[in-house]
Amino acid sequence: MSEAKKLILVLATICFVAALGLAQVHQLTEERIAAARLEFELRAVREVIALDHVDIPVIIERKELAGVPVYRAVGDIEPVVLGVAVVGYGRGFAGPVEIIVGIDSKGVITGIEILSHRETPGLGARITENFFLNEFKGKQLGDEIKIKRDGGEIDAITGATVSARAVSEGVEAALTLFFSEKNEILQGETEWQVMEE
Amino acid sequence: MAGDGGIDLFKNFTRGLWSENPLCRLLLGMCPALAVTTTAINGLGMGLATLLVLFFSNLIISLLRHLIPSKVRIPSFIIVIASFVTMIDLFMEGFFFALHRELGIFIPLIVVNCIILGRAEAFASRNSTLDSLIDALGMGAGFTISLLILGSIREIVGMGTIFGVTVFGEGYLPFIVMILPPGAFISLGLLLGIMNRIEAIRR
Amino acid sequence: MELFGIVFGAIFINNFVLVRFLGICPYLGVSRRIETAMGMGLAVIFVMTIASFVTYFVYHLILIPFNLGYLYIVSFILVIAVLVQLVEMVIQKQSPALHRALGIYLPLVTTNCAILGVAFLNIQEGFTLVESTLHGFGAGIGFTLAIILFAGLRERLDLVNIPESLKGAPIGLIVAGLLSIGFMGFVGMI
Repeated sequence: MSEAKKLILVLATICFVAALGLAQVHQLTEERIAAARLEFELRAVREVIALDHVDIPVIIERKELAGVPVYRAVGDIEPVVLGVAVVGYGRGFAGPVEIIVGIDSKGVITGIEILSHRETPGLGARITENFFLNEFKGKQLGDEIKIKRDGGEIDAITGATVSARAVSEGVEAALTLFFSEKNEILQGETEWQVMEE
Repeated sequence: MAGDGGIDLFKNFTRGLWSENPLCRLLLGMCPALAVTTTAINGLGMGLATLLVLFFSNLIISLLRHLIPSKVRIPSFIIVIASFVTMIDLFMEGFFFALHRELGIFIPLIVVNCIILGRAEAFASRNSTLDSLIDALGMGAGFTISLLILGSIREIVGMGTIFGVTVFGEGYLPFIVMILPPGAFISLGLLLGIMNRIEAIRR
Repeated sequence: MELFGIVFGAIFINNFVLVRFLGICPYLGVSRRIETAMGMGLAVIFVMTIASFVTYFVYHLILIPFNLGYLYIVSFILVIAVLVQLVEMVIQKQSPALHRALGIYLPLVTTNCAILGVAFLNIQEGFTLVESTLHGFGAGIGFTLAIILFAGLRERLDLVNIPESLKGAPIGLIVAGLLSIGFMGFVGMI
């Protein structure tokens, strides 16, 4: 009996100390991880909204509409929406492809970036390369945002039709969401969460 | 025998690099070795993460080796290892976010990497703390170097780059299969074969 | 259709051994003969399905509500270790025949990274309870398929002349690479 007690005591002590240590490390890294995640999102948002020509200070805000993250850049002094970024999802070869689409207030695409994908390196993964991403710039709803094989204008990538199709699907979904929620995105004032000034 | 300590420590360290290299001679840690070595930097990152976990788990386990009854030693080792893996996981997500995303579930899976539990059971629970730390460094370095070599070969042949820098120029047609799963198996198989050959010649 | 896709994907497209590189140790270690490969495969299917089911509750009913998501590594490995022990005891009591078939493989399953891997993937993919369980089941079948195919090839390999340096693990890995090329043909089917 006393041996069993000793075993339990040792294991419990180890668990207790481990839990204490983990809680400590979790607390230490929590803020840092949240900041890294935020920075990752924001970098993509800034990339696609393309605010290079804007000199005035802007605020980036975020809100989920229909379960999809939507970002907008608003002028700091004059509250006008300067650019919007909407996340879109497509079904890729090996899993979901997550795309962020930059859209200006008129509904024209200013740029896109791939947030996450699981496509084949060297083939499907080439959807992250600029030559492909740039094909979407300047397109808008009503344009044929489809790869050529599906009757659209986007040049697919050799050997990676499905991945390219997934991106065009995601972009189209993001644009559709932008138009159906246009009023809320361009004029809505409630529940927009400020991410960065 | 006062002067022998240094030589023993050195031997203890180099053992992990060649004669008992965990990946190439003991065939441990194959899963991450195959999965994350698509590029040199991923291989290096995974190797260093494993080295850190091994270092701390060997440290704690060798310190506690007289306190843990042998009946509960495996569960105790697993808790110690899993805690350090979680810490490394959190730390990497905070400070190396992009690399952490690339390596995916293979960071948490360090917990079942046979190298860690194997060294805890076979070495750290029986030897002094200093020896255990040297052992961890040797084994960890051996594993890291193997992953780095494998990652470099696959990146150079499969993409024509090394650490993201182009080596073969624009005209190189990359041998894509090398960065796909089949390339992982075949290059590790050939690497093991070459190591066996060298060892056979050395004898 | 979605559920079928998960199972099919886990078996063929993202085969656990040949594409995801999980469970390489038993793949190389327990594949000498087709019968042993079969036994190991069945044990893995069994444990993976149950582990997917149980870890779903551990994560969504215990860790997340208490905001302890970061403890998933420690909790999953302990839960799986306990689970394997329990399963072994229950089988031993209830079905001695099944225990004779699976018994010696069950302890090996605990340290199999494929089991923990499937639990981590279920979380990463945000699967529901049904999806998780089916994913675990499919992943187990995929593992079994790969290990049985390999065992069959290996029985042939014993009869041929292989360069001395490539005997054992090296040729095993190269054969796995060729099998993996074959499995790449499934990619894009769904």
